[in-house]
Amino acid sequence: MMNKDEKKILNLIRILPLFIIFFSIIITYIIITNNNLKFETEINKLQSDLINTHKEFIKKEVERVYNFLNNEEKFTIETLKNSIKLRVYEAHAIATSIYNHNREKEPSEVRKLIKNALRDIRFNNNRGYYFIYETSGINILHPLLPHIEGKNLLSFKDLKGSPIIQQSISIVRTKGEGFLRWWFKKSKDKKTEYEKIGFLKYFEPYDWFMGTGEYVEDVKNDIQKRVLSTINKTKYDKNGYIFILDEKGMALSHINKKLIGRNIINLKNKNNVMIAKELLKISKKGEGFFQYMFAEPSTGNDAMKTTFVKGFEKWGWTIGMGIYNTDIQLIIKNKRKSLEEENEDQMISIFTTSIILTIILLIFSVIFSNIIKEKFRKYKTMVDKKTKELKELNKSLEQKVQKRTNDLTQKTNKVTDLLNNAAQGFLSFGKDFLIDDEYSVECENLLGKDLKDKDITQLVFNKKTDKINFFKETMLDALNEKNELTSSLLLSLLPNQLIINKRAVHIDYKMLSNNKFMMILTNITEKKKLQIKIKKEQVTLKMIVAIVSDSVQFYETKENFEDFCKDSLLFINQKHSPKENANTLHALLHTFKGLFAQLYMQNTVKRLHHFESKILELIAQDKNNNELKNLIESFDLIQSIHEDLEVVTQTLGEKFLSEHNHIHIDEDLLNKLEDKINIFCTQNSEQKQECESILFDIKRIKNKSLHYYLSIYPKLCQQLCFSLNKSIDPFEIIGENNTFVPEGFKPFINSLVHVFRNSCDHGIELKADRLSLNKNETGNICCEFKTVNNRLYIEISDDGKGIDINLLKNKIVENRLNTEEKVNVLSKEEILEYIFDNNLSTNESINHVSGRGIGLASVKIELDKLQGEVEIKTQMNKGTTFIFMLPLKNN
Amino acid sequence: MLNILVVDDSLAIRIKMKNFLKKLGHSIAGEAKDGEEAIELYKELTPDLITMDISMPVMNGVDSLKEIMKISSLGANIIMITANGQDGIVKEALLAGAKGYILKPVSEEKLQDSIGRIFSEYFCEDRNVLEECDLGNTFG
Repeated sequence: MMNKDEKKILNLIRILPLFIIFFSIIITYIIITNNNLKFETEINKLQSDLINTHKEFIKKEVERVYNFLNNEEKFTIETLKNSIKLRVYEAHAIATSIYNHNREKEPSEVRKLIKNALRDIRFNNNRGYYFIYETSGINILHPLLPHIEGKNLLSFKDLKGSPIIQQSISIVRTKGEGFLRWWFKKSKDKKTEYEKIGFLKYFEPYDWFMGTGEYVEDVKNDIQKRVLSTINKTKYDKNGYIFILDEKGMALSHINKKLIGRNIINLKNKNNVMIAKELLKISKKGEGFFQYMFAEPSTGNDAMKTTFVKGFEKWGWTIGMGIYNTDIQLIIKNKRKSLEEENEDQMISIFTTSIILTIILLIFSVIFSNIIKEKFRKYKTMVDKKTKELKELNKSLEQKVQKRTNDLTQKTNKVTDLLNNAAQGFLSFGKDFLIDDEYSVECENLLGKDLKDKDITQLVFNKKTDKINFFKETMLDALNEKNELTSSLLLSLLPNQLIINKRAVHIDYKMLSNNKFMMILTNITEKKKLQIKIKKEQVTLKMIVAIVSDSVQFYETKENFEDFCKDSLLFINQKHSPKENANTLHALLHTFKGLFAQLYMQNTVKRLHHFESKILELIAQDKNNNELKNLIESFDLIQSIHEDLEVVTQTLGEKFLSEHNHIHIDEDLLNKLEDKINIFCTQNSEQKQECESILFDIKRIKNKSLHYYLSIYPKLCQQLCFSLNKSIDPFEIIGENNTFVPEGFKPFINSLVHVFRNSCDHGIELKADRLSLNKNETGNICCEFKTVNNRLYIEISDDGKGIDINLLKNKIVENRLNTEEKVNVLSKEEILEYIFDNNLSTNESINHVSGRGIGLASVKIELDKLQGEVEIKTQMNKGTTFIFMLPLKNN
Repeated sequence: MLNILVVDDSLAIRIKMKNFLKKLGHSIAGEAKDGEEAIELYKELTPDLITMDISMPVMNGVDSLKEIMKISSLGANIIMITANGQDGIVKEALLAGAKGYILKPVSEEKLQDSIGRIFSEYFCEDRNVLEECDLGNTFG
């Protein structure tokens, strides 16, 4: 399944071949165009190159010829110059030698000699001769013009106007010798001017200079002839040859021999271009190229000719060489052809190559795109699959993580719960003594809210810096201590009990593995309170024991103190000083204090001590008797023992204090006394009433009241019912207060416990049962006694569920106490008698209260001992009543 | 049974200590009345354990402890007997190598507990000495 993007990509891949084709076309076109351009430029370059080459060639040739001419001319001139120089040297030498040899002769004679010697010398084809001048300008010797000898020609000028004599003089004066050129007429031809070169040398003896000259023209002609002949011998190409024209346009050298010596000034071509004239023009300027159409010698056809001419101005010659472009054209044409062919070949190859390449690329791109498509698809499916897998994995991972987190949270919560419910403060801190994040709830109760990062020492010690320092030091020492024993001993030095925020807190210290400390705080305020209370009770107990065991001492001390309190003021004797009075008082107080202390009456001791110190204070302040009096009055002495007496009363009963005049009488003695009085009474019947009263008193002493004996039972029933999860209304024994029973009755009355117990256990039902029977939730037990006709009737009743007669019947039969038939005949009362049987119990099981069956039996036994009788009234769900009758002995 | 050296400047206390220790079944190696004597006797008798009172004339308990620790090769076992309010001195003693401390008044139980912590074979577990220590401690 492809989406838009993927389709786009695939389309792109498909379009690729078209692109390739397009590209290759463009490239091919560019290459071709480029090629053509190159071709053209090449051709053109070739053409211009060739032309240039040709031009160069002809120029070079012309220049060569020019140089040749120049050299020849120079050379010849040089030679000439040298030769005339030599000649003049010769002449000079001759003159010098003549002079030297003829010193004794007259100068004029010597001069003559010299003149004669030199006059006739001829050289250079008889053209050359010597002349001599004086530096004054006077001609001394001139072989050709003897008439000028002796004349001053200083102002003589040549044909060009140069003062040659002056020039000569200056030359010989400055340099001694030198060359000079001048223009002269030739002796034969008087119309034309000719250039002459001369050499002059100074002859010192007579202030002469001598020289000779030669016509340049003559030399020139020689040279020219020679040169032309050389040139003419040079072979040239038909189309490229050197020609030389003179000033007038006469051909001096030409390939066409016929033209040599002829004037071709009027030569022109088909276009009427005056070729020769033009060429001469150019050569006059110096040198240059000239192009014109002319007939080609080889073919006779007109062709473009390029000619280079250079002027040799010394002779007024024009040197030139021309070349036809045809051969250039030909060359170019050939070249072009070959290049064209080459080009074509190249083009074809490029084209074919590009087509082949294009085709190959096309194929490739198609294959490639298919592969890509396939791969793409595969890849996509794989990616999809993997993504799916990944998602699932992720999901399961998340689940795992979630579960783990839950587990961890649960565990943490459990631990936190435990700690928080431990009702102990757990917290930890590191070396910095700042409380860590995790601490139990109790910590907040003891130390305050938001404990994280608070300084534990500040919270616990509340600014007592010396304690804080000791605490911190010791803890850090314990941390650094490697020995475990020492470490724990150090920790034991830390305070285990502190008062924090008005609470007593017990602290335990532990060192944790990661260099941290743990403190366990326990609120022991209550415990402490209890401890204090226990201590107090202990003291109280001590006091009670002391008082009871030493009761005589107690009463004595108490009475003495009471008397003292009444008469306290009497101790202030005005006659004595306050100090004395105070001392007396103090001494007495001290004694009482000691006595009370023996009896462990702490509060009394404290009060007396306080009073004592007040008195001492007074003495120290030096007060007088009146003030002492006031103090005593203000202090309620008698109240000092009040607190402790309260405790005694609470513990031992009111009667202990009031009826402390108890005497212990031996019962035996009392009985004897009773008997004695009895006898006395019978003997003295007149004092019967008195006797009765005495006997009654004795009885009172001897006998305890029935109330007294039965009084334990209400409480007993309450306790019993409580333990049985039943409840009964509190009740009291009802009966006349002064009913006395003999001690012999005690066992029977004790055995009545079983009756009460039965009532509670079997009689009174559970609350729920009672409610369902529409009875009061709480049961009712009643105990009443009365004396009638010397008979004591004790009635114990309850409003419980009553005795089940049928059940009783069954039990009787079960226990083989009687047969069934007989049982059915018996009356209710008779059946009820069976409950006193030893082993009978209608209980299914035995509990801690009753059920064994023994209880009521023992009652019966005791009853029988006293010759008493019992009557039982019972009604199902209504209750049971036991009525005991005991005969009283008549005294 | 350990051989114990009892060090205290008070004769009465020494007698008391000896009685307690005998009751616990140990033998008395000797007794010294000041720190210097303690060092001498230690060298002579090499007892298994020393009970060392802190405040004594001539040389006090802590100095004596330090000296003995220096001369003992394996490390002597010394229990300091301290009065209330000597926490800083006790700490010094512990850091110097004391193996335990007992707060006065000394009792048989306290001795047994301290000895038990050093010699594990004498350690008695059903003892709540903590209560007694609590009451002797600073109260905030």
